[in-house]
Amino acid sequence: MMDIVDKIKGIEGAKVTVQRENRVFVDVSEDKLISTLYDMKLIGFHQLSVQNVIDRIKDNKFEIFYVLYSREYKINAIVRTWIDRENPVIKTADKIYPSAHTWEREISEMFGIKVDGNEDSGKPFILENWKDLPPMRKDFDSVKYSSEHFVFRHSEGENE
Amino acid sequence: MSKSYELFIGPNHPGIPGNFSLKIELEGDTVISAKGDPGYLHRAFEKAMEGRYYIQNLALIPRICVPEPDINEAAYSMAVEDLMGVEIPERAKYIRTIVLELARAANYTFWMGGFAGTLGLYTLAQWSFGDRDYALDLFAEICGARVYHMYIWPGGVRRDLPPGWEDKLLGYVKYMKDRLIDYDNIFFKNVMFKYRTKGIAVVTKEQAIEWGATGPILKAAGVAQDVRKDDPYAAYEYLDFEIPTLTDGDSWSRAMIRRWELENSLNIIEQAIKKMPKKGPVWEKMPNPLKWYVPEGETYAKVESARGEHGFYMVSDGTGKPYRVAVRGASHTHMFTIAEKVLIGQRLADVSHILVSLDVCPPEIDR
Repeated sequence: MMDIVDKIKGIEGAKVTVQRENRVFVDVSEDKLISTLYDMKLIGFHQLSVQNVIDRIKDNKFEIFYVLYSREYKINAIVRTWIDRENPVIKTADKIYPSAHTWEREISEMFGIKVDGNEDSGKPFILENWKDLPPMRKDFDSVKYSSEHFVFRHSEGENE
Repeated sequence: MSKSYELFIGPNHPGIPGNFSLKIELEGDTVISAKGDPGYLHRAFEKAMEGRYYIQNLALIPRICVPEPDINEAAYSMAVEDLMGVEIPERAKYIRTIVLELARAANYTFWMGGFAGTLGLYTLAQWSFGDRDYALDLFAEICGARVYHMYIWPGGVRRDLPPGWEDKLLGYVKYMKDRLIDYDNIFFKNVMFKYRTKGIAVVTKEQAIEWGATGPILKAAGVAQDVRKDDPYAAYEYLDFEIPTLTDGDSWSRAMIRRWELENSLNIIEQAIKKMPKKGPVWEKMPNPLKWYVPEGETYAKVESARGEHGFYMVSDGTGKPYRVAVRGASHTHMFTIAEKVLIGQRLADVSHILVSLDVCPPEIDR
C-alpha cells in the first residue's frame, strides 16, 4: 500500500492522509483539482465511484469529493477540495472520468454549483420546475418548503 | 418530413426496471439516441437522513433498493462502525454474510424472472417470483419483515438467528440448487435466449473500465473485480469462492454471470453456516439511540451488491445525526454512462432486455 501512497504524495500540491487500510484522503487546492484527478488516473485510479458535495455552511465553503478506486492496488483514494459558497464553480472532470458527467449534473442541480465544461450543468435533472434554493444546501428548510407547498393531513384518530 | 420519432419507455412500462423513464429516438426500429429521465421516485433519502438520528435512518435506507435492501443496511452500518472504531463480533460477521448472500440470491432470482419476461418467456418469471418468496419467508422469520429487514445494525445484527433457522436455510439452498437445473433447462440452455441475447449491447473490457462499470457488467467483460474479494467485509475473507468472468460483454454474458453468481451465493451460504461460531454475541453494545454521538469525521464504506459497488459516504460533525450521507449505487453509472451509449444502434425489441441485462435499479439514481 505504501508504494501507491508514495506515488500519490508525488503529485504536486497533494496533501495525503492515510485514514485506514485501503482508504486515503488526498486534499488539493481548487486550482489543482483537475490536474490531480488526471494524475490519479495515470497512476492507476481507473474508477470514479462517486462524486458529490458537502455543504460546509459554517466555513462558507462547499467540499467537493471524488471517491476513486484502483483495482491494481485495491485501494480507495478520496480526492477533496473546497470552494467558496458564493457563486460556486468547478471544472468538469468528465474528460478524465466519463461517469463524472452525470454526478456533475446532479450536484449542479442539488447544490447550485456551476460546472464549467459540462454542457448539462444547470439543466433540470431530477427536479421539475424547481424555483427554490438548491435543496441539498444546508440553508434549504425542507419542513418550511413542505408546509408552504403541501396541505397537512391529520392522521385518522389524531387529536386536532 | 422527419425520418426519426421519439418514444417514451416508462415510467410505467413492463420493460423498464422500476419507476424510471427512458426517452429514445428511433429511425425505423433502430435506436439513434437514448436519454435516461429520472425523478419519478425521488424521496430525498440523502436530505432526510440529515434530520434523523443514526438509528432512525435504518428504517429509511433499505428503501434505496427494493429487491436487495440489505446492502444499504450493511454499508450504512459499516460507515458508522468505521467512524466509531467499532469491531463487530465474529458470529455477527457470519450472520451478515449469510443475510447479504440470501438477499443477493433473492435478487438474482427476481431478476431472472424480469429478464426472461422481456424475452417473452413468462414461465420462468412465474417460477422465479414464486421461488424468491421462499427467501422472503426466511427473512420474515429472522426479523418479522419480508421486504425491508432493518436487521443489520451498527454493531452487528439486531438479534440472533431463531432456533432451527439454519436448517430451514439449508433446505432453501438445496431447493434452489435443484431448481437451478430447471432454470437451466427452460431458460439458460434455451436456444431462443441465446439467439436473442448473443452479441447484443456489447460492453468491451476497455469500455467497461473506462466508463466505470462494476458488478456483472464488468465481470461479463472479463474483469474479476468484486468488493467481497478486493476489500473484504463481514466474513468474506474467511470463505472460499471464485469470481465468475466471461469475455464477450454482451447481454448473454451478463445474464450468465448473474446465473453463476446465484449459485455462488448458495455455496457461500453453505460454507458460512458450517464455519460460523455456534455461540457468541451478535451485537457490540452501542450507545443509547438518543445519545448516540458519532465522532467527527468522514468515511466511505462499500459492499458488493447484485449490481456492483454500493457505497455510503458518511460525514459526522460529532452530533447524534449524520451531517451528510451520500449514496453510491451502481445503477447511477450503469444507466447514464453505459446504457445511454450501448442502446444506440440497437433494435427497439431489444431495448427492454438490454436495460434489464444492465440491471438499472431506479432508487439508486433517485436518492
